[in-house]
Amino acid sequence: MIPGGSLGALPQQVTFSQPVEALSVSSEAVSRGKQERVYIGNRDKFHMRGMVSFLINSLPSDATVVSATLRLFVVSYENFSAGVPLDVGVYKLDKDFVEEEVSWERASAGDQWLTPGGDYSSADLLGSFEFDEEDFGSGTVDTIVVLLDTLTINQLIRSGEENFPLLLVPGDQDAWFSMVARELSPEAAVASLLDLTYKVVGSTTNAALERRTKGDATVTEFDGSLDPTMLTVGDTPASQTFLKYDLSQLPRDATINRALLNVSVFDAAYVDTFHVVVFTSGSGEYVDYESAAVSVSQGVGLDSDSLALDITIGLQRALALDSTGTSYYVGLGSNTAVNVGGYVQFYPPDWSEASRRPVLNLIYSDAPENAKP
Amino acid sequence: MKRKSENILMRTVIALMLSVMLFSQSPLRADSRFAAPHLGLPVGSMDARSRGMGGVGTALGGESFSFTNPARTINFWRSGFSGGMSQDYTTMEDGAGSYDTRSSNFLGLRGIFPSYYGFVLGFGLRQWRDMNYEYTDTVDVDFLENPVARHMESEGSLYLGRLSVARNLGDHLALGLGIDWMFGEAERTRTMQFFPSGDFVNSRDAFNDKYSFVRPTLGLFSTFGRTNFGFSWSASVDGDQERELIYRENNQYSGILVEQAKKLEFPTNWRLGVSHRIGSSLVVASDLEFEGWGDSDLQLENPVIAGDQWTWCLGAELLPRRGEGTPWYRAFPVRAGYSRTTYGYEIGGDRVGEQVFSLGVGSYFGRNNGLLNVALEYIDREVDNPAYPKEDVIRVMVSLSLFEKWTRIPRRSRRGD
Repeated sequence: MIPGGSLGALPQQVTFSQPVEALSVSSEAVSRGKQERVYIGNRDKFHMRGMVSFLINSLPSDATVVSATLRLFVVSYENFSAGVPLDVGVYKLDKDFVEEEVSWERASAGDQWLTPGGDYSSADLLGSFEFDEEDFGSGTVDTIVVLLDTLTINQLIRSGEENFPLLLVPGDQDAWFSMVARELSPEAAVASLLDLTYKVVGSTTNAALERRTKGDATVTEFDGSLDPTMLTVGDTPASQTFLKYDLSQLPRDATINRALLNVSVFDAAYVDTFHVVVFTSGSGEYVDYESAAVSVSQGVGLDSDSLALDITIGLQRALALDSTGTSYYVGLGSNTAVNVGGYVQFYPPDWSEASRRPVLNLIYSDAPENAKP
Repeated sequence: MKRKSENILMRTVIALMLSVMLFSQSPLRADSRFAAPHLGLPVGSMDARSRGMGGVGTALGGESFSFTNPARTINFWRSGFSGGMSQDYTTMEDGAGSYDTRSSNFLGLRGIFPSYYGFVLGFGLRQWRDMNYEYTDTVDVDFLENPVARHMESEGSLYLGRLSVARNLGDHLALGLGIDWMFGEAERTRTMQFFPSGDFVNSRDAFNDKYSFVRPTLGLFSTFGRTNFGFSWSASVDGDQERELIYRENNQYSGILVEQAKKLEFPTNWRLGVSHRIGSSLVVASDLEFEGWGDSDLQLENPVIAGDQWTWCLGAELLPRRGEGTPWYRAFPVRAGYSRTTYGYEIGGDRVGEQVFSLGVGSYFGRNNGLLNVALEYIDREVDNPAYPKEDVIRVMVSLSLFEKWTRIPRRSRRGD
């Protein structure tokens, strides 16, 4: 009784064994200043340092700091060298960094570090601590308290410096921990804190100043190598993969209900988690994920040699921009909002073994005739 | 004392009916799947007096707010407003099972004003066609692990606004002219839901149609002794159909609109009625209505083909008694009626239609300045083919009318009345 033109046809399935085009492009290291955690430590070939910066310009120029305490709020950790604590040194950075632009290679856009990983002098060691997971309860936020040398701070105050940038450098142990970044809860005082107690000449009263970090970031180094013949989606090293499919065989008004890109994994590694986002691009050039992502990120595991990546929304977007789908790439990139270091490499479409090539499995349903222009 | 007890009884009846309408546990859902193949279902008079008599109204005397004949308003000697609504309790049976649904309808609002020089003015708005329907099923698809749930729904109605004027042309004949403005829309959505839900993007395609036309209606009303004759005719017009496609919602295509406009021929309608008063306590009436959908260019889908819409109705009203010794159940008019409608389409050569059995009562209140009419209908919709669904509907209708005490009395001459 319901007209077929209103009810429409049933879903259909189509498989694409070959894309029109597939390529991977790399980029310089991305900044993680906007992430909600700061990572410090090592995971295999990934090395992470933390940077935090505080404002000290509200102290009187004749103030003398009598104590400085750094408080870090730890939320997660991993130790692959069981029983061996992670050594962490706190150094003064030679120059401040721009939170949204800082990376292993640069302090800000156009301002490279002289030494990748942040410029500091070993003489500027302000404090140190050992991170031992036994000191921390599971699933809770615990605090690391580090007493800092006040001499350097007083020198900075005397010289009129406004910023107090610090670098947290881990030892060589295969362990890491993450702490709360100020982006996690912008209004709450659970990001890194600097407590200063100082006195002013002629005054007998000590005053306290508590400063929430004005900027914090992770910088990550990868000292391994990748196979350039594979398609790569990575964060560190930064790489994105673009695929283009001829979707002209789909009805013009069809909805793509599910598009799974089945890939065979060649190699994968990451620090904590690795999330992939899907986007659409007309150029096939490396894109900023925040402006291009069209789907929620998908977590990728290390325990499988194959992955089914959901690229439904990316293909829908490509079809919305061009009804044949051939003008736009579906891109796969790292979710740089959460990934601190990692990559996935998978076999390309021209790989000799057909069973390892990417296969796109697509389910669509055409619009009812009455809903077509 | 007796009058007081009658009022209490009526109020009790109203309270019970409203309670049933408002607090029913059935889901508020579709009206009828029979609305799907055509431009909805035709909706009869908004006036519960007329509906209690099977829908007659073209030649009915007295204060009836039925829209059927613009000349018939000449019977009003005082101003009045009336509004009506209904509640449907539908049981539908198809091959998959039986479904109970409930739906409410605003049937209409009308005002009639006797004015200067014997003219009677009227305005109103009523539901003309009901476009609501809903359909759900699940289908197995060989490459999917779970069945797909399909859902098709249409929400909307077409409404007819009328401005009318009527006047006596002599002792036996009155003429009425009306300008009808039809407008309304149906918002239709087809969805396909996949399971498990997080693994798929569901399909949601929406297509909305807006309809409108303006057309004249001519009415005649004639009285000879105890017999009234009525006739109304509405012209065939080219109306507008504006289609709005919001296809592929809930994904990257959300908000994409395609708007199309075209002309749609709305057919002529005529209605012929007669009523006769037998003795002092019984009125019988009959109407025949035609709407020429067979000639319309409305696009229908195979195996549905266009046909003309015919309705005939038969009704009787037992008038109330007055005076001492009248039992309470004779203090109200009691009505009964029957009507049969063949819709404007056939399915595979089988006619589709409904028959209605109706009962009704009414009562003036507030020193005759208010009038409450209630009708109860049993509607049976079916096709002459067991492969299609069958619907049984219990419809409760209430119309409330308020007369001149609450409205400004026009300064008018009663010359010629």
